[in-house]
Formats: sequence, structure tokens, C-alpha cells
Amino acid sequence: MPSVLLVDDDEDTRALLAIALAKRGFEVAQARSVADAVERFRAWPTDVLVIDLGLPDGHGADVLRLLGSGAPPAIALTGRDPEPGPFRAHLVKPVTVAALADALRKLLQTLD
Amino acid sequence: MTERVLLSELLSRLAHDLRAPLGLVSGALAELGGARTSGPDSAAPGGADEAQQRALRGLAARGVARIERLAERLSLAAALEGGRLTLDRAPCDAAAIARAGSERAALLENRRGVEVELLAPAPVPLSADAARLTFAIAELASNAWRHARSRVRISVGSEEGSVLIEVQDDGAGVPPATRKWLFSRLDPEAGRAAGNLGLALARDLARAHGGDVTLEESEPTRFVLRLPPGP
Repeated sequence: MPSVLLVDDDEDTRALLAIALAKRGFEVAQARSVADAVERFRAWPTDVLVIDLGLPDGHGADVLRLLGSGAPPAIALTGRDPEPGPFRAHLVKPVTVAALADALRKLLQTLD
Repeated sequence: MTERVLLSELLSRLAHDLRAPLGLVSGALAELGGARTSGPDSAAPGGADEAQQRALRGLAARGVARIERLAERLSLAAALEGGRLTLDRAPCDAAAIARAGSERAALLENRRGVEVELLAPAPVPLSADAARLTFAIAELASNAWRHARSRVRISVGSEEGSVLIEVQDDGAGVPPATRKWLFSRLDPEAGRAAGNLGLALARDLARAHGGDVTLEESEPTRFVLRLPPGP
């Protein structure tokens, strides 16, 4: 079962996406900040990260920077136009479950 | 900024403010019903368990409540801009209003791990439109909930004949660049509709009562709503 860590400080968005992805066969962990994400990933590494770029304690890319070479591929959730960075895909918010599930499937196919 | 540009910015902001709660409602309903969602995804699988269904219903309800708040904000802003705001003043209790505003904010914001402390040891009489004032307190409390790290404190008291309601959070504070336009519905410097409508309305409603809302501290953030005393 593929696993994903959802990093977003909006609890409602996270809760909805977590339920939706769990129903689609993902194991889902959640984090609300850069520090929380790094701690959770180190305790329970996942196949993919989904990260909101605007987090209360920093930029979403900080998660990848802090995880260094151990960071898995990641999808960015952004309120603006996609920006260059270490992400494999960008989704502009508000993100639909359909769009996220599709992006995750495509990303996971590249890892097979 | 021309009127046309301003109108365009306002409409754009409205669309933005509507999309998030609408996305929450439609997403939660789709997951609840196993309905087909738009886009390349296959049908949302049914079979949400009982806890998931409960959570999804809560998310949908909160999305609807946020849309209702947006409608109320717009209605109030229109009344204020047009000079048509009316107040239904009556003797009431500031402590009860603070409690109601805090509870309303708690329904709208979903921040686990944030504790709210309400310090209202005794009734504080005032003459006010309780519904309008509850709205103002809810806006201040919502703002605090969104920015708090772990704690929001709402306290009610009186000072030199005025009624004081303080709303404080332990977040990162208000950045200097934001302070100047904090209570504006527009951000003239940025040339766009980027003010804080909720805070602007809270202040306007306080002023309509003969009081005011001020930012007393910015690190951490502490807003004070002052009102004339009751009868």
C-alpha cells in the first residue's frame, strides 16, 4: 500500500484529503508544519510527500531541505502559480481530491 | 487604482474566498456519497466508515458555515459602505457576548491543539446590538485562532468606565508591513484588495457602537475592543 505524508496547516483540508486518500488505498500520515513534518517523516518514512508551500514556520520546500538526501519525491500545493523548486508536481489550491489522487498515481508510476 | 481595477480585484478576492469552503463542502459530500467527482479521478469509492462519515459531515457543515460568514461579511460591508447599518441596541452582558463570539469562532475554525481561555468572571453590563457585537468578537477570535500557536485568551472587564474585551494569541505576531493596513478592506500600497475584511468589520461595528478596536500589542498579538458602558 503506498504511503503519503500530508503537510498542511489547514486541518480541514488535511482531514478531507486524508480520508479521501485512505479510501483510495493510501496509508496517510499528517503534519501541520515544517518541524512537525520532519519529525513525523523521520519516525515513519512515506513513499511520497504532499506539502502546502505556505506553512506557519516556513516554506514547504524547507521540509525537503531539512530531510536532505533522504527526502522522497514530493508534490507541492500552492495558492499561486507554480514556482521553480524541488517538487515533482504542483497543484494550485483549492485542490480537488481527483486532481491529487491523479497526481499521486502518476508520481508513483514513475517510482515503480 | 482605477475603479475598474478595484472592482476586478474585489471580484477576484471574492471568488478566492468562496473556492476554499466550496471545495470543502463539495469534496466532503462527494466522499460521503461515493459520488463521481470531476476530473480524471475515478468515482470516489463509497464505504466511508462511521467515524469518517461523521468527520466528513463536520467538514461539510463547517464549509457551509464559512460560506454563510462570507455572505454576512459582504452584507455588513455593503450596509456600512452605503450608510445603512442599523443597530438594535438593548441592555446586555459583555461576558455573555464574548462567550458567544468565542463559541462561534470555534465552530468556524478547526484548530486542534489550540486552547481557548475565556476570562469573564462576572457580568459586564452594556447597551449594544448583541448580534452585531457577537459577530465582531467572533471575527477577532477567528483571527486569533488562525494565528495562535497553542493558546487564545479572551478577557472581559472594564476600565475607566469603558467596557474592554481583549483577544490575545500566542502566534508570531503582526508583521510591520501589515500593521498599517490591518483594518483596511483594501491594501492601497499593494494596489489590491488585500486588507482583512473580518478585522475591518469588527472595528467598524465597534465604532458604530461608539467604541473602537485597536491593536495594542503586535508581538504577541493583542486586540482590544472598547465600548461605552452600559445603562
